[in-house]
Amino acid sequence: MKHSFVLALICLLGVTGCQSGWKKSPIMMANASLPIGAANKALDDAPICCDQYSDIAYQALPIEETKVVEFNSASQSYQFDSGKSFVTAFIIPESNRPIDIEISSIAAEDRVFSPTVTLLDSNFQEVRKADKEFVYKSADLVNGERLEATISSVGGFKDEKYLLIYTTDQQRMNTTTMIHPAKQFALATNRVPPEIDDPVAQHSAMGLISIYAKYVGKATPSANTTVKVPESANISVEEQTNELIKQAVTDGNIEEAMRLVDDAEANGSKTARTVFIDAVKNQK
Amino acid sequence: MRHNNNKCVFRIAPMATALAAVMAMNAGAVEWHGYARSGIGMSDDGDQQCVDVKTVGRLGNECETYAELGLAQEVYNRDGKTFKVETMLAYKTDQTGDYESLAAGDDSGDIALRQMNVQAKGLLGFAPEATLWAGKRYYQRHDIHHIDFYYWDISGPGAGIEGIDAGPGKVSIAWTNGYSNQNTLDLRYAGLPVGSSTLELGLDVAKPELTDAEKDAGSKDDISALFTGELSTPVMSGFNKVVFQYGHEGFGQPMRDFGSGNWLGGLDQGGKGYRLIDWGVIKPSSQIELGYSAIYANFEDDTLKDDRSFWSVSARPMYKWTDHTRTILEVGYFDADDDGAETQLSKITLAQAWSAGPSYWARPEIRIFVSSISNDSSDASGKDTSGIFNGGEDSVINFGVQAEAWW
Repeated sequence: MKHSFVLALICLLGVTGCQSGWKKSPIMMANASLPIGAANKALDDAPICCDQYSDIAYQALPIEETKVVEFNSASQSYQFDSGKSFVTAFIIPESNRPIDIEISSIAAEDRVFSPTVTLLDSNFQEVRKADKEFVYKSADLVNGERLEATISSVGGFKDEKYLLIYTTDQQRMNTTTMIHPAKQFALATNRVPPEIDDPVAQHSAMGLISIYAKYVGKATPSANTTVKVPESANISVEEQTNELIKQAVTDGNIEEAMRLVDDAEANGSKTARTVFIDAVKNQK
Repeated sequence: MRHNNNKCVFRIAPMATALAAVMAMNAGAVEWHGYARSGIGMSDDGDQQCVDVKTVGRLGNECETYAELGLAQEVYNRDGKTFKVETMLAYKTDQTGDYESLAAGDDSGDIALRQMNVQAKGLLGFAPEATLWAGKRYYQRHDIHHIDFYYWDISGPGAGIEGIDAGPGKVSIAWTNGYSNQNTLDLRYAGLPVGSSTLELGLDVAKPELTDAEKDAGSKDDISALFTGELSTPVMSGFNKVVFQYGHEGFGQPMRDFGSGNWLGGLDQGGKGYRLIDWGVIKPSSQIELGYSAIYANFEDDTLKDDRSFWSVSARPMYKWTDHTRTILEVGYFDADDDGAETQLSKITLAQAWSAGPSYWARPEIRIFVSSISNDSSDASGKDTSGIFNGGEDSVINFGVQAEAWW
C-alpha cells in the first residue's frame, strides 16, 4: 500500500511539473507590475511622447472584442494638465451607431491603476471626461477585483472620435479599499464574515485595463449594417445619414425615410427631422 | 496644443443618471448564491473511503456530492425600507453512479429545504439599522472551512431582530428551532473592539417544548444553556479566532460531538461540556496561504464513568505557483478518549489544484488529490477496533479528482 501512495505522489508531482509553461493571466500581469514607488519613478523617468493630443499614437478600438492593455514603462507618457501619466489612446470607429465602452482596471493584491477617460472630438478638443464613474467591484464568477465604469453612448452622431485613458496626480494619491476574500466568501454563503481590515490598494502609475466596446442604439440604414464613411469624404455620419434620408424621399420611399429619421433621432441626431421635412416640402 | 478649453470639458449628466439607474436596478436584481462539491475517487481497496471530515479535515476526504442553490431578491425598496426574500435548496447524493435519485426513501440521495425567509430592514422605529426576519434561515453561522465544522450555528426555522446598534457593537436576538422540539433563544453581542481584535459574546438558552403526552411519559424539558465567546484578530493579511464555549445540560454533549447549538444531548443528567478552539486563515507570503485549527473539547455527565474528550490539530497550507495553480497539503490529527474508548485518526493529503484566482478562498477549484488516512482505536475494554476500512484494514489511500465552487 505504501507503494501506491508513492506512485500517486509521483503522478501528482508530474502534474505540478507542468506549471512553468502556463500562459500569464491578466491578474498575474497586474501583480507583476512594479511596486508603487518604482512605478512612480519609472513614470518620472519616462520620456514625454509629445506635446499635443494629435501627436499621440492612437490605435483602433476593437468592437465586441476584449482588449487588454498594460500601462508600463513601454507605454507612451504625456504631460496632462492633471499631471504626467502613461496613456493609452484609441480611435473610436466611425459609425452612425454609438458604442458603450466598458473599462475595467484589474487590481493586483495591493495596487490598482485608477483610470481617467477623456473623449476628444475630431479636432482633438476634450468633450467628455469620466473618472469618478469608476467604482470598485469585488471578484465574481467571471471577473477579479477591479475598478470598472461603462462610458455610455460614445460617438455615433456626436463628434467623439478619440479616447484617452490615463491617470492623474490626484488619483495617484488616493487608494481603493477592497473587500477581503474571506468576507466575500462568508457573505456569499451566509456565514459571519471575520472582523478584519479589508485590503487597501494603492493607486499606481502602472496597471492593467481591459476594454470591451459594443454598438448600442439603432442600426441604420438597415439592421446589422453601419454607415461606412470613406477616409477621404469630409462628411460626418450625421450628414451622410441626412443624405440617405433625402435620397429616400426623392425615391418616394417615405416609410424608409421616416424609419431613418426615427433611428437617427434614437442615435442622437438633431437635424434628421428638419432634413426630412425640408426634403418632403421640396418634393412638392 | 494643450487643451484648456474648459467649455468643452464637462461630466455628462446622462451618464451619471444611467449609472444610478443601473445601481437602482441591481438593488432589485435576483441574487444567485450557491455552493457545490462533486468529484470522483477510488481507494486502494475499492471505492473511495472517507472518515468524518470534522476530525481530520475534508480535502481528499469527501465521498459525496453536495450542493446548495439559493435565490434571493430584494422585492421592495422605498424610503429606506427594504424587504428581501431568500430561499435555498440543498442536494446530496452518494456519488456512486450516474442516475442518483433525490426521491424520499431512496438511500442514494436527498433534497432539503434549508432556507425560506423574509428579511426586512428599516422598519423598526427604535432601530432602523436592524433587520427584522422570519422563516427558515442560515443564521449567523460560524464555521471552520477546511474541516467543515460549524461550531456555532443555530439555523433552522426562526425569527428575530438582527444588528441593533448598541454601544460599539451590535445586538441580535433570535428564536430558532434546530431539531425536534428544541426551542432556542439566542442573544449575541458582536463587534466589541478589544485592542486590534474584536469580541463577540453569545448566549443560547434552549428548552424542549413537550406535549402533554410527552410530559405524562416522563420526558425531560430542563433548560440548557450555551455560552460562546469569540475573539477575532487580524493576522498576516488574514485572521485568527480564539473561541471558548461552555455548554450546560443538553448543550454539554454537543461540545464533544461537534454540535453547533442546534441539537441537545440528554437532559437532567448533569451534562456539562466545553471546548477551546483556535483557528484562522493567514497569508504569510504572497505565495503561501494557510488555514489551520486546534481544538480541545470535553464533556461529562452522570451516565459516564469518567469523561469524553478529544483534541485535534489540522492545517491546510498551499503554495501558489501562479494565480490559477497551487499545490495544497492538508494534514489532520485527532485523538479522542471517550470514557475509556480511544480513537486516533490521522490524515495527510496532497493535492494539485486549479482555481479561479489566487486567494485561499478563490473558487471554483478543481483538485487532483491523493490522501492517506489511518485509524488506531480501541473500545473501553481495550479491544482493538482499528479496522474501520474495507477488509478490516486500519488505513486507506484515496485518489481522486474533486471540484468545489461557491458564488
